[in-house]
Amino acid sequence: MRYPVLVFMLIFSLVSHGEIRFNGFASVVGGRTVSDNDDAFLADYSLVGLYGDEINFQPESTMGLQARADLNQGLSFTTQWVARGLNDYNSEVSYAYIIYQLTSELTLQAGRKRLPLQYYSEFFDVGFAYPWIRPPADLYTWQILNYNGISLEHKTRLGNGTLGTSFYTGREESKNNRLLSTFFYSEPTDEVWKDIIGIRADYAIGDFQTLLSYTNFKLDRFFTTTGSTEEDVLNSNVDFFAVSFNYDNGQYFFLSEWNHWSSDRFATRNWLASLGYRLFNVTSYLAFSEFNQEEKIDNEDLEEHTTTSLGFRWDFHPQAAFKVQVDEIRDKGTLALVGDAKAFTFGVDLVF
Amino acid sequence: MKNILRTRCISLVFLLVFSLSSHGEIAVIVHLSNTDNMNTEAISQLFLGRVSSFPSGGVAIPIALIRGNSYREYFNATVLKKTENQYKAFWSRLVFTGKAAPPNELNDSDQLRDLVAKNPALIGYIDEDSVDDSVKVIAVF
Repeated sequence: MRYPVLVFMLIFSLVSHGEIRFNGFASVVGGRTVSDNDDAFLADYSLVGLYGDEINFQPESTMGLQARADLNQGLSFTTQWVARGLNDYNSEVSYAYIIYQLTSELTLQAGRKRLPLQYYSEFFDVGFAYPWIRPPADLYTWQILNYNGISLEHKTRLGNGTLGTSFYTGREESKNNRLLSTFFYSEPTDEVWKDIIGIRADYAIGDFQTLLSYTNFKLDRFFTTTGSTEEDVLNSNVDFFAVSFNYDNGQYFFLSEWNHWSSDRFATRNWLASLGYRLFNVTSYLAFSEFNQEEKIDNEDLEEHTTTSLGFRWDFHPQAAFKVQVDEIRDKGTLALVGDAKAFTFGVDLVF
Repeated sequence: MKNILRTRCISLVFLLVFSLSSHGEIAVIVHLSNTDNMNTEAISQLFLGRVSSFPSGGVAIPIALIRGNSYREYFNATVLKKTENQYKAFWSRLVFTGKAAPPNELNDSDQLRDLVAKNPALIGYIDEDSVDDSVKVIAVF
């Protein structure tokens, strides 16, 4: 709690002539599994957001407030506080960074940001920004969401379209990481992603957009309980690739993404495809996603699950949307980690 | 035969009404010193924050009209191909990731024209009836 207060003080003391812009977002989402025979529905891996057979508003409800202070001459400072149902709505800083505009095409950013591994990573918390209740959990499963570091962002015209590229580097440490400690190992686990370097390029032309992204880092994993039977991981090299292709003509859309994770021991491939149709203020959509992981040394299949989703988004207000979604999860893995489930979720997303 | 005739009549009326209501409603304007040529795609790229300079290189700052203004709705639908909600959803991706800030918004066309007339970096869209010789029109929708 002390950190946000400090940041607030910093903003107000820095800004004497500039301007402060406040923006915010909120998603209130409830849901449950359809029947008692279902296993729990793991909707948010990173924070272990689980729905059981009783209606629950905690797993995915999220609120965020952002303050951006413009200090003139190309310098600005942005902070975003996010409060989640899973953390009893205690706020945490998910973004706190300085932007320095070098030219009209090039900016330098430094501080704490979301790690842009995948297409939806950076605005994952902003439900209003995408059609579904959540970007499919089969892809958005990673234990680290943020990093502290520097990024260089560039945008320019290329042919008749536009090319945005970013280069980033940094590090993140997560003590007692929630996904690893409570879900995968059931014992306190610290996770470090260090020497992160990544590059992202997205090209947009007309109704088409493609994204290519590559991130490399070294992973350390420590099991902090004395006498733990797990072996610490040191300096495991991880390569992460993301490719996304999207088409949206205002009425129909096709969204897709493919991810590949490769570390010393594990390889993971996941993908999603979604089709949607908008009629007046109602968007209907279908989505399919798959997660597939194997152990590389013994060539053993581990996790494998798919999700089929059907849902509607009704934009009942210029800044708010109501969504309903049904998901069917099939766990086909030898490591039956999540189980089979059908779940029903609904919610309201808004931005201001 | 009668049916076909009726359908044709209806579509003719539709076409007429549509072309009357849409013809020359909005002018995209820049400073008189601006020499850039921009097609619909290039204008859209500026208003969606994908680039922040004119094709010739100068800094470009787009200015929009406020929500609820019918020219804004028409511009967003025709040039950006977005409803108000799609526009908001699109910008929320950029705002909450620090990539760009949405165009500043003004209340009416005359106000917007007077600002554009004074600043070579600005580009905006206004009611065509508000155009005078203080600004340059680069496109009409």
